[in-house]
Amino acid sequence: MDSTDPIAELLERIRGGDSGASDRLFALLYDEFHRKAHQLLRIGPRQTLCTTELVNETWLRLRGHGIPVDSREHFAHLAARAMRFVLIDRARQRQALKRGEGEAPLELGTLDAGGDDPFEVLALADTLSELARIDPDLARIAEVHLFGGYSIIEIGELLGIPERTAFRRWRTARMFLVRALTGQDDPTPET
Amino acid sequence: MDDAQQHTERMQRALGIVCAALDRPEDEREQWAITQCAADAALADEVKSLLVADRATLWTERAAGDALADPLLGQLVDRYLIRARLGAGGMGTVYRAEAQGDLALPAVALKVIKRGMDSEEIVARFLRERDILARLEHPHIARLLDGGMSRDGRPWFAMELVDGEPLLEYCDRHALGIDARIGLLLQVCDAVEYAHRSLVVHRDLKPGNVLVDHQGQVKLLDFGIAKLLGSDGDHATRSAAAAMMTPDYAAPEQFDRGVITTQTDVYQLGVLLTELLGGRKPTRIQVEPHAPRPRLDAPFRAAGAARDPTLQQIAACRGLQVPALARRLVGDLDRISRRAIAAAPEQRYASVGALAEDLRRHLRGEPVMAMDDRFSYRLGKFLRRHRLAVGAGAAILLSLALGLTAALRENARSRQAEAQTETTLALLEDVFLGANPYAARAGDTRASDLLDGARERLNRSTDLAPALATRLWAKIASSYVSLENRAAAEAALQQVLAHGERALACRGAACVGPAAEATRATMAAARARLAHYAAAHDHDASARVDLERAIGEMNLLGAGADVELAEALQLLNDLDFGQGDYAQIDARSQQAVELLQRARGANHADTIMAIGNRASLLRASGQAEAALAPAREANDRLTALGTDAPAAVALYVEQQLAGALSDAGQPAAAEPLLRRALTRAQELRGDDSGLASGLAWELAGAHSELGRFPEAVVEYRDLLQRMPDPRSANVAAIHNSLGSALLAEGDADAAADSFLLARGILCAADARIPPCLVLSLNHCDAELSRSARPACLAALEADAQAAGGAIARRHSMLLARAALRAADPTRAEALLAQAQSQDPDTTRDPILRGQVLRLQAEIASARGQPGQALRLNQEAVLAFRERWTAEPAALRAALAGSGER
Repeated sequence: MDSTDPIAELLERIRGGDSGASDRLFALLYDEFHRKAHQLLRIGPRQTLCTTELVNETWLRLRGHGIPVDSREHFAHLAARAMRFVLIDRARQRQALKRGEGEAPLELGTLDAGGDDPFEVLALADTLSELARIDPDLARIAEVHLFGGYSIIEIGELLGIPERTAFRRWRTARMFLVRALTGQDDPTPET
Repeated sequence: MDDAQQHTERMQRALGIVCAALDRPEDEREQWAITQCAADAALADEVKSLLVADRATLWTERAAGDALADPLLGQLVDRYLIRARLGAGGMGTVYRAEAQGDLALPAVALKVIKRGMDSEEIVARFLRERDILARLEHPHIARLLDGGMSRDGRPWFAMELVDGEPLLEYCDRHALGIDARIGLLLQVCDAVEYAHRSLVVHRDLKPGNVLVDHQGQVKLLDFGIAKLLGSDGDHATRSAAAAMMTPDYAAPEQFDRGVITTQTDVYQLGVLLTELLGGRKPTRIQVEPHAPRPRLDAPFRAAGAARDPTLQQIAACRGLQVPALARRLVGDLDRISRRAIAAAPEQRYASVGALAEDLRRHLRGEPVMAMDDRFSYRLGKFLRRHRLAVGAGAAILLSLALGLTAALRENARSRQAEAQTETTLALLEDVFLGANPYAARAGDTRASDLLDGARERLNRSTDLAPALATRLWAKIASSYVSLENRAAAEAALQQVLAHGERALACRGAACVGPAAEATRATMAAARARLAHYAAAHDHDASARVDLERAIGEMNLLGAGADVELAEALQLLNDLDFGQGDYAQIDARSQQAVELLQRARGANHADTIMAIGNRASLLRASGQAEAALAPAREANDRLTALGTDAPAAVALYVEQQLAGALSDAGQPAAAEPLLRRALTRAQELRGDDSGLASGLAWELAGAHSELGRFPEAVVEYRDLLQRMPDPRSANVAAIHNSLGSALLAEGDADAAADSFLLARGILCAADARIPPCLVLSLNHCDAELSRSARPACLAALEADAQAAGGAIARRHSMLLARAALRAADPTRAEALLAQAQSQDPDTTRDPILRGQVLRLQAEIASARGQPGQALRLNQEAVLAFRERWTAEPAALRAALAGSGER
């Protein structure tokens, strides 16, 4: 990782006992988190909507746990986890709605995280849990990528593994996810 | 080993095998993987189905395409290592790349022509983009850094890598308000204007080609289909460029393969502006070429708009509610955007610079040049009427009555005069005053310049019909009044009277213009204003009689003078208020509201302003509770008026509501309202505007109410710097508020100075009016904190006690404090009881109750009852805490002292 990275530097200072660095760190992480989350929630060029509310909800959830962040990778993972839970909540809400249960939340139709279908978000989350039981490392890469909005190159940097290895691991995780999500006997090759 | 565990272990092995297999060349991958399974058929099945899944697409990747499989990743192009794919356009792919070498250079954006796209035409176009970029050097355009040819013969170039996000997403993510969004578009305009000066038309301006970096700086990208003006390749490339346009942002001439000019970019900037502000692209003109463009604010005014989640979201992304966004977009911004996206290029702004200038004018609160068709329509209509009259014999009918020759000449002159005045009036009303008559406010030099120019033109137009001249001078006078330029206003008002006399005496065809009643009303209004100046600024007591006489005249004129009468009544209220005579103020306020309601309508901006004024005066005369109702009513009517309310009126009304809340004991509720309103006012008009000053004053007041005195002191001092007239009653009032805050902070010396300054301004003419009594009491309060027995208390005794109520109560409390200083707790106790009987607020208002408790504690202390004193002080803390965030410093000190004992 780049040695001039201010986040890494602040983490170093916190480890060295500089308690004032903690607030500054959270400010920086908040910014990074915002950018990642918005990238993730971007729903296409035709319609941009401010996702601030959703992102803030996630951030509060993240910060509320009060877990000390000890590395950037740790933070990325926490952020992805928090975003995953928030998205699952939303998807459940919308799923209930599609089934005709409950009141329409106001943001219906205005926010669509990733898939067109709330069932996809839930299925993906379930599949990730399954993968985590089999190979937690692969699941972690997939989670940080899919729910944390980090690119594979960034994840490679965060984990301190070569880019090539990161790509290979991500492709492996991806195979597992694709197979589970598309149905084992009916893969849909598109290339 | 159970089934589940067996399955898990098989999956672990399968994943390990496919992961390793990915290192093998694709054609031998599967075979290799199956070999690894060592005849375990179930494992081999898992592995095979996993490898099949490698070729499928996950929904999250739809947009990313084949980014992972790009063979250039990890390769060197010249000295650049390709790190990641950023995007792909029609003919090239853009990568993030890093220059290899000893120096750690920043990453670049490297654009390489797509494989298979290297036809002659495309290569030529690609190289043209490189040439165009090479000639552009601008802070808001991504720079060309390097270029060359790859080993396999594909041209490439490297640009500055912009670490930012697309314009719309940046704005929404930061929930940027309207002004900030305009600010970003102005940066884009800068870049495009610069490109135009370099003879480059971008013609693909869209949000994705405008990135905003973390410093909020705009970078314009992708000159991929840009055109060099005057270049000979134009005809040859027209068809290719048309095929490459982005339909949502393309100008009509791009669809029609018409001539591409800088106007094309004006159109695209207009689309960007429309989407930035209103959240939606304008409807495509191809669908309905002649349909009028819907107004920018129209969707937000539709029935049910305020409950539409999409519109709510759009408004929220701009930090506003739906009705407020509609109010913000109506008028200037709607006109600017519609002018920029006019279907015909010649109807658009003549240049990007003109569009940018109009946006800047809007930000400065000046009238914009993008007029509705109203002005030209009016002029055109007049000319048509003129031609008709000459041609169709209407003039002849008239001339029979008046004598042919003279009448024809007169008629021609009067028409000429009418044309002039209609034009000048239209200019004044539309161009200078704009849609928003509250636009002209203090300190706005550009507005003053415009006004001075209009005045000079009017001075030179000696042959104007007098009635029209009267009306025009009245307009100019009222503008000078709102610019707080008394001398110029008075000169214009004298012109109103002079021309008015001539108009009333005028007979004949040259006397076109408003009816005599209207002229009389205008003249009476001018007399009222002149009288008000003399009375309020020169303390000329006889001037009040003139104002009352003008009001009498307006009463006789009846309904035609309703508006003038309403204004004159408010002027009289202003005089009475300055004198501290509150008896008739509210009745007049209500009459003014009724008059305006009749003349203008219940929800007209003027009516709403008058209701707001009523609330303001009630509050200022100490009836905060009574002020709440009209303040709320003004706010309700503002909501009913919705989008048509000028922003300044909306802010004024919000100020009154927040101020009333603050004064009626709910400062905590008012403070955030005020903060928001103040920010908007500063954005709208700048710090120095009367609007911002009023809100800043209100905010300082709320901070005082909340006991946040250090903040209030800073705010009051800041406000004093901004007041245009250092001798106005408002300045005196601010000095007084500052003094009170300083005193509460314990700075009695500075407080005494402030009160003296206020008294010097307000009480020069008559020191016995109630505001002066209050100032003297305040000054005395400060003196009492400095010396044991100030002489001022005795001097004020008669007047203060005669005034009764709160004034008498304050005097009694000061006497009680003086008695305590003189070690006479018995007398202090009697005086305090007297104070309580004089003002019921001593039990109702928590701060007053706290102050009474403090005095009782000091009395107990003086009597040697520390336990009782401590209990009373603790009660006082509770009272102060009902409203303040902290108790006064002196009380804290007293409590700390009793704790030690």
